[in-house]
Amino acid sequence: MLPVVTMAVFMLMTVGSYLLMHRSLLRVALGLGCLGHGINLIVLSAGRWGQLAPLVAADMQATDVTDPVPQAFVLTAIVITMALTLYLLAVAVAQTRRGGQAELVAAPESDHPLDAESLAAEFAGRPQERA
Amino acid sequence: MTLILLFSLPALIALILWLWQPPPAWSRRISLLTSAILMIAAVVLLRDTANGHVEVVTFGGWRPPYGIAFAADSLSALFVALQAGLLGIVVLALRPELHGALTVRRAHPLALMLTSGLIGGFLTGDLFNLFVMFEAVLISSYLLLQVPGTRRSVAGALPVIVINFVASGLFLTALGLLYGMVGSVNIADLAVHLGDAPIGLRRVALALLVVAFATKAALVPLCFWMPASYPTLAAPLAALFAGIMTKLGVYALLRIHPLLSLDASLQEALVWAGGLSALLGVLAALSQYEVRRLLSFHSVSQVGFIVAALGLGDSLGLAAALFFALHHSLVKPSLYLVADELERRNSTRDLREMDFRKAGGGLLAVGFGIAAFSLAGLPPLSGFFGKLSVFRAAFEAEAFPLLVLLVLASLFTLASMLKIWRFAFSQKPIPAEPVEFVPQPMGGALCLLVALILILGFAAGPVYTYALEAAQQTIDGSQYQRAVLDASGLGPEREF
Repeated sequence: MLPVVTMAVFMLMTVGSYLLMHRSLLRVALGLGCLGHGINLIVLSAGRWGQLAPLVAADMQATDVTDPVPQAFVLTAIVITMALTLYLLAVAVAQTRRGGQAELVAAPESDHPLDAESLAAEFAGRPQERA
Repeated sequence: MTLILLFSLPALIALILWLWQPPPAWSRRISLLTSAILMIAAVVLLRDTANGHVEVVTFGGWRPPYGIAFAADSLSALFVALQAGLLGIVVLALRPELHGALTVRRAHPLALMLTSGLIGGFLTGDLFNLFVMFEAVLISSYLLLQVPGTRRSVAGALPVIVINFVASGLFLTALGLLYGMVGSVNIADLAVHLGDAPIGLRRVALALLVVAFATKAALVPLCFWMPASYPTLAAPLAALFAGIMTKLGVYALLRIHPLLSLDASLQEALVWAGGLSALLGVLAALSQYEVRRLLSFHSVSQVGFIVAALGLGDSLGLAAALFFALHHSLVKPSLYLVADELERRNSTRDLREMDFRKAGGGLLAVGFGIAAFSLAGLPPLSGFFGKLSVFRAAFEAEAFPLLVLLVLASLFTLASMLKIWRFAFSQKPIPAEPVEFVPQPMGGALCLLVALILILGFAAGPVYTYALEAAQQTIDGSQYQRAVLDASGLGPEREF
């Protein structure tokens, strides 16, 4: 089991890191997903790839049992990963609605002065509505 | 009991505010009241832990190291008190008539959620729980970053999400490795048992942890998410972020540094990363013309001072880091609040377009002067004692190259503060339009912060003594370990 998992971690990490290098946010989101799952497999491996589920019966050897705690860790991590991926995609959508591309770009600086309208909106703390 | 109140009250109030959506004035009152209660609880905690006592709470009846434990010693108590106080100041500074009713209504529950996550992070005695708290803080901060809703704030938030996701991934990998070696992620238990683990794997796990925390604290090669995002926030929120959010990374480093006994090479790496952050951060700040971008690069520099001091690893270094963190958490928010006033009065973010006649005169200038000279390290303000303690720690540890870096960084800090001064408080733009000079008062929150800076300056002696005691207790670690591992609860004694 362990060699298979190792290969899987290796491939997920490679693909994830490669996708992360792109500008396109869709690829970045996929890359983060791959990376996250590679890491989840590492954490799962900390609990041994045992043969038995962690249900303890009287005649069982403790060494055969998979440790359930890393599974709980991974469960938490998967939920967080999903929430963050969704959020990343939502921000990407917000960016396209504001006339940008779904890409990682440098945030506009004040060296390129913001137009008066958006500046006024910002000081009023009002989100800008654009069709 | 205090620990559970401190952690759960802000989360609860945040939920209520979210569902109820009261008018801004009410949401302000409720948030202020919450912050006052938190402050009282924090003071109680400070008093309880002052003599080295460690307060421990276990959850679900599990005894450590199997269950999650919250543990507060004087180090945690100090950060919790800081957070409770800053929350109050930020709520005071965030005014519906200045920043918009919508901003205020959106920001209050999120700021409370952030507070809950930060306090949980400061209190928890379990590394996985710390990971969850980090995520809680990050998610609240991502949402806060979207409060302005401008194109800039959207674009600025994206690198923050991606970079912090990767850092969290490294943190989780380190947790997997630690759990695989030791069989628990309780910090006190790790402190006892990590020494038996194979040296290579241990080094990898600790290095991953340090890189993850350094990213959250925004040290130099890993800092670029911060200047991209902080300037897009409403200024009081940026003050909250700069004042305390990077400090969670610093706190985590302070906690694991002595307890998990980092290798000498990692300590060295921390010292160098800190020293370089201090210098490069301030150089980057010096080249900026937008006040808030300048200030956020400054945060990189100041965190560099803190991490360099804590990387030295002795009690002097840790005490200096603690004192400096305290000082920075007061000075940086006050500078952000000054920047807010300046930008609004001038209706521009660019220093070059500012006009001293619009700055509103005396009081704001005095407030800025005190905060800026404290940041630069002029006596008798708090920054002088902060820098003095860091320099002394570096001198005693004979880290002379670090000392050179830090002295240079201090010089440039003064230069960058003078840059703000020159542009915002003493120049007129060249085609000077006639402007009527209207003296304007300074915000109450800013007055409060400036007063606190002055108090910290004059009470530097006792505060430093407190920091030194907290540092010694953290380095010794035995009280913390004993308190956590002897906590009552169900479950078997640890066997191996």
